[in-house]
Amino acid sequence: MSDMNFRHLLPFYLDETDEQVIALNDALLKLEEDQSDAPALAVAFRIVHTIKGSSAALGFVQVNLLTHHLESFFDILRSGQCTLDRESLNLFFRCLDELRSYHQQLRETGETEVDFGELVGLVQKNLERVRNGGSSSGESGDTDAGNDTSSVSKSESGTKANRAEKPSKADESARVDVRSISIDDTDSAVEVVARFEDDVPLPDMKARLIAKRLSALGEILSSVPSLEKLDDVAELTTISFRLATDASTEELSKAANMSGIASLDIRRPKASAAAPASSAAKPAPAAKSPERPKEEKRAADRTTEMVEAVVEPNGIEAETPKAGTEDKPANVAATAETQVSISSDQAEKPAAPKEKPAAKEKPAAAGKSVGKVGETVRVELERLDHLMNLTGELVLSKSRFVQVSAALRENLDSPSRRLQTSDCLDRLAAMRTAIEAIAHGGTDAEGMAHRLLEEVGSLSEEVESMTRELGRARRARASLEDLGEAVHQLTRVCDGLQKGVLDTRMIPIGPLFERFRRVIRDLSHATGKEFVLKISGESTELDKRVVDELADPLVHMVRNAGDHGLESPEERERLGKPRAGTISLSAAHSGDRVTITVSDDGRGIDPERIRRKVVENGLVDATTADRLSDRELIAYIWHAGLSTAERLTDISGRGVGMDIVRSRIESLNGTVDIRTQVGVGTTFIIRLPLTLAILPSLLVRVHDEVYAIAVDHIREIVEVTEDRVHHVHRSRVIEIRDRIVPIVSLDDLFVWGGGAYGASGEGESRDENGHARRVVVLHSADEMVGLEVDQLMGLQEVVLKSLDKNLGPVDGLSGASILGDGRVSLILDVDRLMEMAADRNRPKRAVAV
Amino acid sequence: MPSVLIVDDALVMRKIIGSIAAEAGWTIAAEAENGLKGLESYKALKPDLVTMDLVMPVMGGLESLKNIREFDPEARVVVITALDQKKTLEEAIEAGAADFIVKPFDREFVRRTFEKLAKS
Repeated sequence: MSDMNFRHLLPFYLDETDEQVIALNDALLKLEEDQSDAPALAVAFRIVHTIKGSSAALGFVQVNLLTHHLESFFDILRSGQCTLDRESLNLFFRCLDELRSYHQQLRETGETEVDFGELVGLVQKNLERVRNGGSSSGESGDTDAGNDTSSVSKSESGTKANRAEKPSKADESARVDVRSISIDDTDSAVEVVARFEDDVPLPDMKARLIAKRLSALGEILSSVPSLEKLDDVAELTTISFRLATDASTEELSKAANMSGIASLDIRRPKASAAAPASSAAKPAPAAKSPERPKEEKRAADRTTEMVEAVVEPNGIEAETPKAGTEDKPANVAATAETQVSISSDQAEKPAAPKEKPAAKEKPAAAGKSVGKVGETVRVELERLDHLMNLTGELVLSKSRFVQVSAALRENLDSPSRRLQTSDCLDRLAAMRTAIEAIAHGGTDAEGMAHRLLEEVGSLSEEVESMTRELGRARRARASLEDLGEAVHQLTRVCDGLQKGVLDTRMIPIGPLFERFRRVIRDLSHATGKEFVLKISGESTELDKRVVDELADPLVHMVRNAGDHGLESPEERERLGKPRAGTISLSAAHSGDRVTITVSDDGRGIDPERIRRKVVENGLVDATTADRLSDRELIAYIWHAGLSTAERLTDISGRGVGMDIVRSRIESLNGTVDIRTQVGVGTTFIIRLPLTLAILPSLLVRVHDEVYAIAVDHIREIVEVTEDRVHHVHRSRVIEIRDRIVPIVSLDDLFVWGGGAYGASGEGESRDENGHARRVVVLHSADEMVGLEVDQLMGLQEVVLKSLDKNLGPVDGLSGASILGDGRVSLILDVDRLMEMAADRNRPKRAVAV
Repeated sequence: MPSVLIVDDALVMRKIIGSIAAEAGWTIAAEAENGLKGLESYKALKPDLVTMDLVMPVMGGLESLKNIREFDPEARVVVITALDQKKTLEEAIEAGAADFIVKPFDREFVRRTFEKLAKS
C-alpha cells in the first residue's frame, strides 16, 4: 500500500512511532516482570497494531510486515491460547530494537533498506514453537498464522475458534436472523440485491452490515447466500435479501447503500400494493410508546409482530409517530412501484424532506469551533527555534526601548525643579519696582533707568516664553510617563512571550528516565548483576533539545555505574550491602537550572587506582602522580584515554566515554561534577540550563570590548593586588582559600587581529600603582582558572547567536549576543578557554576578532 | 459542508483520513486520539459523521461507538478496521455502525465512500 502522497506525513509518523516504540518498551518490561500482565499485553498489541496501520499507509512494507506478525503473536498471547516465555520476550525486545534503529535510520537519511525478513521468520518460528509447546489444545492446522498471504483466512479461522469458545452477542443475533429466515412470506417480501465492488475487503462483513441495517427497517426473511454460511462462501460478489418491510425504497436503499457496493437493486412485489387496504381496520398496535424508541427496540417489536407488520405497513408507521408525517404518502407511492433499480452512485431519490429527530438538538451550525476538546499540535522544532530567535530579537529591541526611555527621562527630568521660572518673574518684578524708584528719585540716571526698564521688559518676555517652553516640556514629561508605562507593559509582554515560547519547548524528563529501565535490564543480563533503578523528579521539565542531547551521556553514565560502579551480588553480600545495587536518577529545578544526578551505591572511585592508571597510561610521571590530591586524581576520569576498569567489557570501559560525556554536557552549557566515596558510591551531578537559547551572563569589559561569560561557569569574583600574585614557572597564580588558581588574561589566549592589544600588553586596570586586579574565577568540572578583566559591567540574560553562520567557529568563543545598547558582545567559551589556558605553553592560536 | 469527527490513535491515520475527507467535501469537525475523547468530541460538536478506529488506548472504538450511539441513536459512525479485527467489527455492526472501511485502504475507495456519505 505504498502511497507516496503521504510522504509529507513522515515527520509525524516518525515522532509518533518513536513514542510508540518507547511505550512498547515499557509494556514489554512490565511483561517481563509479570508475564500474565493482561493490560500490558493489551497495550503491546495495540501499539504494534497502530504501527502496522501507519506504516502501511506510508508504504513501509518491512515495518508493516514485522508488526503484522508481532500483532498476530500478541493476539494469540492475549487470547490466552499460550503463554509468554523468556525466549519470546527476548525476541520482542530484539524486534523493538530493530524497529527503533529502522526508524532512526529513516529519520537520519530519509530512507532505509533494512530487511526484516529474517526477524519475521524468527517471530513466526517462535510463535509456532510457543503454540506447540505452550498450548494444550494445540491446533496443528493453524500454524500458518504468520504467513502473510494467508492472513485473511487465518483471521477467519481465528474468529471461528473464538466463537466456539464463547458465543458473542453478534452470534446470538445471527441466530435470531436464522430463525426469521425460516418464516417465509413469499408474496409480500421486498427483495434487496447488493452487488459488491471487485476486491472489496471483507464482503461478508459488508453483507452482515447490510443485514443489520435492513433489519432495522423490517424483518429479513431470507438471504442468498444465507447469513450463517457467509464464512463458507469463497468469493462473495452479491447478496440478496428478502425482507418484510414497510420501509420506502429510499429508506431501504439508504440503509443498504454503503462503501464497497457497486449496485443495489430493490424489487417490490406487486401484491404489496394491496396491503394498505386491510390496515385501516386495525388500531395502531404500539401507540403506547409515543417517544421514539431506539432502533433496536423497534426492530425487536417487529420481530414479535411480524405478521401484522407485513400486512399492515402503515400501522407500523403509526407506531412511531414522526414530525414529518408527509413521508407517508410517499411511502404508499413507493409501495406501488414494482421495481426500483438504483446504481451506487445515485442512491438518492427525491424523497420527502425527512428530519432526523436528533438534528433538533444540534446547534444550527453544527460548528467545528463549538467547545473543542483539548487538542494538540505538533510543531517542528525548527519552527520553534525560529520563533525563539524572533522573540530573542524582540527582547533585545525591548531592552533598547528601556534604555532610550531611561535616557530621555534623565534628560527631561533634571531641569524641572531647578528652573523656577515664576520665581524669576517675581524677582524681575521686584527689580523693576526698585529701578522705577531710582528713576523717579535721580536726575541723570533717568535715561539709564529707562534703558534698564526696556531691558527688563524684554527679559520678562523672554522668561514668559521660557515658561511656555517649560509648559511644553512638562507635557512632554507626562507623555514620557506614558512611554514609561508602555515600555513597562512591553517588558511584561516580552517576558511573557519569551517564557511562553520557552515553555512550548519544555518537556518532562520522565520519558527519558523511563528508558533506563530497559538499559538496566540489558545491563543486568549482560553483567549478571542485580540492579534496582530509582527514579525521582520525572516531572521536571527542560528544553526538548537538552533532553534529546542528554540521552547519550546519561546512558553512558548509567552503564558505567552498572558495569564498574556496582559490585557483583556476591561481593555486595560480603560487604554487607543488599545484593541488588541501586542506581538512582533524579532531576530537580534549582532556580533557572536543572540538576540531574546519576548515583550508585557501589564501590566508589578509588583515587589510588587512578594514580596507578595515570602513570600506566603515561598521562603523568610517577613523581607528579604521587603529589596529586585525591580530588585531582578523580578529575582524571574525565580525561580521554583513561579507563579504570580492570577488564574491558562490551558495556563500557573502552576508555572512550567520560571525556565525551563531559564535552556533550558542556556543549549544552552545562557542568558535571562528581562526588565519590570509596565503598559508599559515586554521584554525578549534572547542572543544565533550562534552555539553550538564553544564557544568564556576566558582562565584562576587556580593552574596548564587552564579553559575556555564562554565570554557571563563574565560581566567584575576586580583587587581588599584585603582591598576592605568585609566579610559578611561566604562569601566574593566586591563592584563593587554600587553592592555587592560575590567572590568565585574554591577551594570553587570543591573538588580536592587528596585534593592537597584544603589543600594548597590560590593560589599564591591571595593577597600575598597586591597584587591585579584578579576576573572574572560572570553573569547569573541578578545575579553576582566574580571568583578568578590566571592568565588571553587570549581569544580563543574553540571547545566544551563533557565530558559525557568519564567521565559522571561532576557538574560544561560543557565540555572540547583541546588548541593549546595540553593541555586539562576544560570548566566551569557558571550557575551551580553560583548555587553552592549560596548553598555554604551546604556540598561540589565531583568532579572528 | 457536512462535518466529520476522526477518531484514531495514529496521528498519521487521522491526517490521511482527514485529507481524503476534505477532498470529498467534508469539514473536519475534530480529531480525537482515543474513544473517550471521540465520545467527548461527539457530544460537544455533534458532527454529521464519525470515523472510528477500533483498537485504541483508554477507550476502544467499539465502546466509543456504543456510547455515541447511546447518546445519539442517529449518529453515523464509520468504523475503520483492520482485516483481522473481524470479531470486533461484527460487534460494531451490531452496535449500529453505519459503514466500515478496511485498513490498509485504497485512497480512491475511501474518497468515494466519503462522497457517498456526503450525499446521504
